[in-house]
Amino acid sequence: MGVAQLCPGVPRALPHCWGVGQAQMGVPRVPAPVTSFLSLAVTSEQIEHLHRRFKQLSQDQLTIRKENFDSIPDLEFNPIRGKIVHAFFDKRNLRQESDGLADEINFEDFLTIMSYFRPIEMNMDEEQLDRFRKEKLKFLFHMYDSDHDGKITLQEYRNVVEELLSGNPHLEKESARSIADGAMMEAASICGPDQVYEGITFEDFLKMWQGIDIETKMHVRFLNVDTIAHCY
Amino acid sequence: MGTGTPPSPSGTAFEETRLHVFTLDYPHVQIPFEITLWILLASLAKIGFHLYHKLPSIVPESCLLILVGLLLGGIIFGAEEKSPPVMNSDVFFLYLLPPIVLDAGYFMPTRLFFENFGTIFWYAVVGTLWNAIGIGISLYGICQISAFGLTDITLLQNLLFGSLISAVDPVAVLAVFENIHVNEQLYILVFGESLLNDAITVVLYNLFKSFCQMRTIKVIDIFAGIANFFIVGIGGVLIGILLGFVAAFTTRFTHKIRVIEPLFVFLYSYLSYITAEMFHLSGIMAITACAMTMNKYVEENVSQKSYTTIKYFMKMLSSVSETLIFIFMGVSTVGKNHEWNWAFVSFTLLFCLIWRALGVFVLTQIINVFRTIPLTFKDQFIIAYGGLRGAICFSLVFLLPPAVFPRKKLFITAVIVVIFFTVFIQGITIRPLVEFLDVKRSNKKQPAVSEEIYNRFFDHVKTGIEDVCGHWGHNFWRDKFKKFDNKYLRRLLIRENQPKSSIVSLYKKLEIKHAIEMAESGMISKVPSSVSLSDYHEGKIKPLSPTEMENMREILTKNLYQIRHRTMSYNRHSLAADAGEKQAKEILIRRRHSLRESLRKTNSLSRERPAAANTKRFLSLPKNTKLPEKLRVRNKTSSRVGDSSDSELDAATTVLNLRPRAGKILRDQRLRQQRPLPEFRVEWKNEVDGSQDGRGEQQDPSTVPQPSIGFRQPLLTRPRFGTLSREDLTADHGSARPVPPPRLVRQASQGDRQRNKPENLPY
Repeated sequence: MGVAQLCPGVPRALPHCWGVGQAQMGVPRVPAPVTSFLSLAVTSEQIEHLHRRFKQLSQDQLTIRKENFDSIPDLEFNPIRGKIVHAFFDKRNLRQESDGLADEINFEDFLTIMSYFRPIEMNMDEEQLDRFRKEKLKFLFHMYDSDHDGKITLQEYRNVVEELLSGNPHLEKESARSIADGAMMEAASICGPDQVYEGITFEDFLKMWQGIDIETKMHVRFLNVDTIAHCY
Repeated sequence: MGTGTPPSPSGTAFEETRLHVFTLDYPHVQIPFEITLWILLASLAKIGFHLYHKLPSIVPESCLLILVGLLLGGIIFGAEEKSPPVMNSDVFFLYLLPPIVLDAGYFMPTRLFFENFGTIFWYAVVGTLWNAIGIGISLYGICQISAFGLTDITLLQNLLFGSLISAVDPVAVLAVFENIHVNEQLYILVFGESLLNDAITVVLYNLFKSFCQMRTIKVIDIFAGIANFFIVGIGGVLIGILLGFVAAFTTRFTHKIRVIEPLFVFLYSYLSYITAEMFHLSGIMAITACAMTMNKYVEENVSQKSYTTIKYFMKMLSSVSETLIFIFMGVSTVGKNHEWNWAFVSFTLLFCLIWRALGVFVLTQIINVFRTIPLTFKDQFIIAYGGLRGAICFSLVFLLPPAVFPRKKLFITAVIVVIFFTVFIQGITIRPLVEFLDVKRSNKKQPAVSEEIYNRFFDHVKTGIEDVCGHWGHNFWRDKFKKFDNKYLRRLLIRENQPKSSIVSLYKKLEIKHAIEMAESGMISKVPSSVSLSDYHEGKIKPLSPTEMENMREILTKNLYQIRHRTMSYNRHSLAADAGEKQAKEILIRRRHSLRESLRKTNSLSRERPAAANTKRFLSLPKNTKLPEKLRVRNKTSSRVGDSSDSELDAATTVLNLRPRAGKILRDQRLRQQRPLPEFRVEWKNEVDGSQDGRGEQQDPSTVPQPSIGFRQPLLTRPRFGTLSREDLTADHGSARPVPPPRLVRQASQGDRQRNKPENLPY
């Protein structure tokens, strides 16, 4: 799956010269082939905006590395900054078969990550919605599961909570731990106590998020990009 | 003063009156007496409704109250042959309405409100305008038809009427929506609209009223009207915010006089209301803004008791106000101030419904473009259907100057019919409609720590992504506000400013709540913790998580201790820290003891487990003192039972009781019947023994209080987890080896010895 699949009108050569400049971006909106998650309605407009942003971040290079994310000032204040940046390079999110971290990502990968945050479409049917939701939740799951073993263990969970609360200097570590433990117990209860429980698997994770309609909350509107100037 | 008759008028013969032993002086106390009687009547009516428990779910209280009012009005009318006292508009606007709005504003979910602010504002302003002008013009069209005898009503009068009847009423909305539990999004849309449309209603009402009284209307007047809208709305909000900050600032210094803390909240909010009314600004918006601003900061400055007082007093006031309003509406309906005109009344009703539906539909199409979560047809239907009219239009219509409005009685009748229709018909049918349409309901789950964590995590993720792609979303603004808030506002307005995390505060709240419950009940909670209940299929093990015990221990010591400490402070004792810890342990021991006792009494047992299986549980033992071990022991056994541990477990796992209980309880009972008592004992002793072995060495160094220990055990009950924990445990964890069952007698005595020892601690 490449960007070419996104925009069928675009010549195949385009993925290689993303960094050079987008000559013809007047690509019509792509109807969705069912198999490709990404190709569901990422409009050319959005691609343009994101591409501009990508160029800014990468300083006109073809790829972004972790260091490039340091140039975003507001991200510094985010307690889970590390995880967010990590998520961009996580190969599982990039839909590559392998595991681990990529060193650098190109625009296609950037788009892939951003596509997790697409707003919901009005004309999606049940099955699509479900898949949509699962993809988004999988993204979140990967952020929790840092050692890539497919389960969130207690240690990883604690890690998450500690990071979340790291902005608060008054908090003792034990509080963070007890909170994490309490939450894990909850998880255990939802996910059924009769199995061997090594950690929260993705299915359990799904169950926990059942009440929250993640597909509507987890999106960013890519429309308004005049604010990009702020990054400098 | 009432003990003697007043002296007879001078000039005439001086009549001597004897001393009166008993006199009745009603006029002296008339006003407060009548007020008290009314309020008493309202409250008794409320009690009456709830006697039959099904009633409030079918018929909203507002309907019943109006009926009571009608009855009462009928009685007064029949008795005195004159119209009963009509609700004075001043009384309504100055005394009855503010408490309701205050209550609503104070407990408004601010985050949801601001997320939907654009939509709410759009509906409130444009929607009300649309309704007002639409109804006014169409009614004018009807009035033109001479067959109805309405030709003397001018366009301006119609417009005024339209403006006062298009106002969605917060009181009625609250009264009806509180029972049907639609999802919060929908609720906040309708309710927010009803609050914000006050600004536009005030403006339109005054505008058209003055237009009616002016001879000519110039274009400048129209612009003045538009400018007036901005002043009214923004001015009201500014007054509210300003006074909210002043209130927060005041409460910063009230820690010495806790008793009058709640008073400040009420005084400042009321002040904001009447100040706004003084300037003819929107009082409702002022008090709402004040309450929302005040809420965050005041909550942190006042003591727990003051906060509870504020909450309850507010709810009480608003409840009484609401009841009185509806009763008065009923009473005022009866009487001679009516003029019935079929055409006007029915067309009014029709147009109200039509324009509301049209308005919502058209506006939603427009606003959906800008919304991230578009509103579905179901939502739109509920929003349109939930546009209830109530006491505000009622009072506004009574305020019309009769000199300018010769047909005032007609208006009154029409308004009453519309209100009755919306409150009764729409109020009663909205619940079945909501169920029929399968509108998403609010899930009143208990707040869960893990949910809070997820939400916060998610917020940060979203903010981060927004930052990465350089986009300003809601999260961006919220973040910016939070930073500003933390940097300046909180420092200024909060006394002991500690950066607060919602996760931590929620967690602490839950802990405290459960510790209090435990301390109060002194009994095992009847609710089985779903964690402790595992499915006992034969042969399956239900390991008890050591971390649960750890949790419990920690929470108990931390919070029970704190609670006790709180009460102690009234005794002017200052407990030294170590005394406090001892005390905490003491508490724990007693807890354990009482639980154990009740366990024995209830004789609820269950769980068989092969002895071998038991051993896995001993993997990670709490390192601390005998106390925790006791706790653990207790916990294990009690968890066996399936219910006792819940009280402790509940502390940490309040929210864990997510599973349906019935099945488990049944299972418990089934198992219980199968299991004889001795086995229970055996297990218990085992654990004691095992724990003793494992941790004998460890006890002394580990007698430090819990917080420093933290959780080393894994949370979950799986043996495998246990092994994991063993790995990441530090050396002093001790090696708990499984111990073979027997040696009953010895264990018993050991256990007893152990039990007795802590109890000898000085209390």
